[in-house]
Amino acid sequence: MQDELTKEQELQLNEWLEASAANQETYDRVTRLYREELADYPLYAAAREDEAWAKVQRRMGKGKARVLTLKSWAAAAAVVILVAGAGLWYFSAKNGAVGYATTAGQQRSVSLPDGSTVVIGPQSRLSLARGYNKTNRTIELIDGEARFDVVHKADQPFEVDMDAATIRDIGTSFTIDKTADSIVVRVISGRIVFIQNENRKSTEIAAGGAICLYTGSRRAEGIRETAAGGADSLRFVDAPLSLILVNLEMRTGKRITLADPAVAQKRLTLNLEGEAFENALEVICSSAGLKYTIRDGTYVLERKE
Amino acid sequence: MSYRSATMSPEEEQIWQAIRQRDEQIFEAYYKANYRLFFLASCKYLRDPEAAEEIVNDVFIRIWEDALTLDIQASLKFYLYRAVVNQSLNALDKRKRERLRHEELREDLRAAEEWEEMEDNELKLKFYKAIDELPDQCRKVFKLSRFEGLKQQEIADRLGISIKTVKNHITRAMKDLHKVLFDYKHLPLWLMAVNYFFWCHH
Repeated sequence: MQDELTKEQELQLNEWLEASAANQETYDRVTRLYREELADYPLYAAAREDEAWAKVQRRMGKGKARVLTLKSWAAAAAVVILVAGAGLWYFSAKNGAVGYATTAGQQRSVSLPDGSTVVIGPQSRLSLARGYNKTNRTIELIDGEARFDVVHKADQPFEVDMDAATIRDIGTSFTIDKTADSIVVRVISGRIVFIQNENRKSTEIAAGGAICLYTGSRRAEGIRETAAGGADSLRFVDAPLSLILVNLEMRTGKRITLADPAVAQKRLTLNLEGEAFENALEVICSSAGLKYTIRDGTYVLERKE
Repeated sequence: MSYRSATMSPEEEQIWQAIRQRDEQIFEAYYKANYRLFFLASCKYLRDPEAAEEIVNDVFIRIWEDALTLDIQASLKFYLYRAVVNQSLNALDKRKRERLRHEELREDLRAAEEWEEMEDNELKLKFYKAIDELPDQCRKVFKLSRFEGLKQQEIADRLGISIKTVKNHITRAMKDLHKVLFDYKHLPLWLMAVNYFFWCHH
């Protein structure tokens, strides 16, 4: 390097090098850095912190959840928020019950005292009834999405209470997506009994099946049930997006999730029969103003910017 | 800062305490701000981006889980850096490690030398970040010249611009990148060294 400098530059360089040993050391380090020719720039450019962080979050979610139990809470009270720092978790409790909640973009896995597990989706809330695993195994899903893997106990059935409906487990794995005007349940393995609380009508759903109960402003539309591979399962008239995705998952075995649970309420009229999976997803996305990406084998639908 | 004076800065202390108090937002921000430093450090040994990512994540998850029992007196960043490097070395299979022992590995590296290595990597990342922040066309010209080794005429032909424009872009890139390097050690030498490095390729 020194051979290529002008005389003046060489003089300046030598004066600087002789000024201190630290300068010489720094010069050596600089030279070494440039000799490596910054060869790992492509790796730097390809690094994706956001995607890597998403993997960290998923792994952190497998750990034990923090739990706080509040003492005697007024029945009429709303949610109590206890936040340390960022407010990732907030805990709601009523009459000594224990609650879990997630914020946007968060997903948490919780191990229940009876060995069952629940994966709570983003912006979702649920609570365990008082005396869980002692006098009952009842969980209230307040809103949002949750997946349950239930340890069967014949003498103490597992139940999920959702105001308009209750699910009773017969030994299963299932997901529930509860929005303002619909409850969608998908059974992954085993069987559940779906009970409409208003009229106590019960429906048994087997693995691969799904059921959608319209509530709130849509309650007049009643209930829709889908068996796995049903002949009409990919034709929809003004159906909630959550149900459409349920049916598409059942038909194809692919895993689809919504980045923003609020979008689950969107109503679409579509006929996806005969469409290849990704074409069907494109149709859904363009109808609903969404786009999809694939992350760890899961198709994630999110709003277009 | 030298290795001997490497203790936690007040800012790092705040971050560490926040992590110990399970503040996931702070943890996430710290992770994202430093991910590439640790990622590149691991890639240097593993040459495998996926494995490097996993090692960085392993280290961060461990620090999250063990935060209450860990006692970190020195720099948090250096602690994590050494953990990533050590775990990367451990991940190499025996055969590779023995070969590398004679070539690049410095398993008996003193802590002070590791500290300097981390500082060098931080400088490199600042340089890379400055490249990312160059205006679009300027960045394209710089990358074609620096990383693809094209001559000025070749760059002009590829981008459909004049040689004069290529030279202007290179001058602009040099000014911006020089600021990063000058801030590092306040050296006019840097300008000469970088100028040499750049112009000797053309």
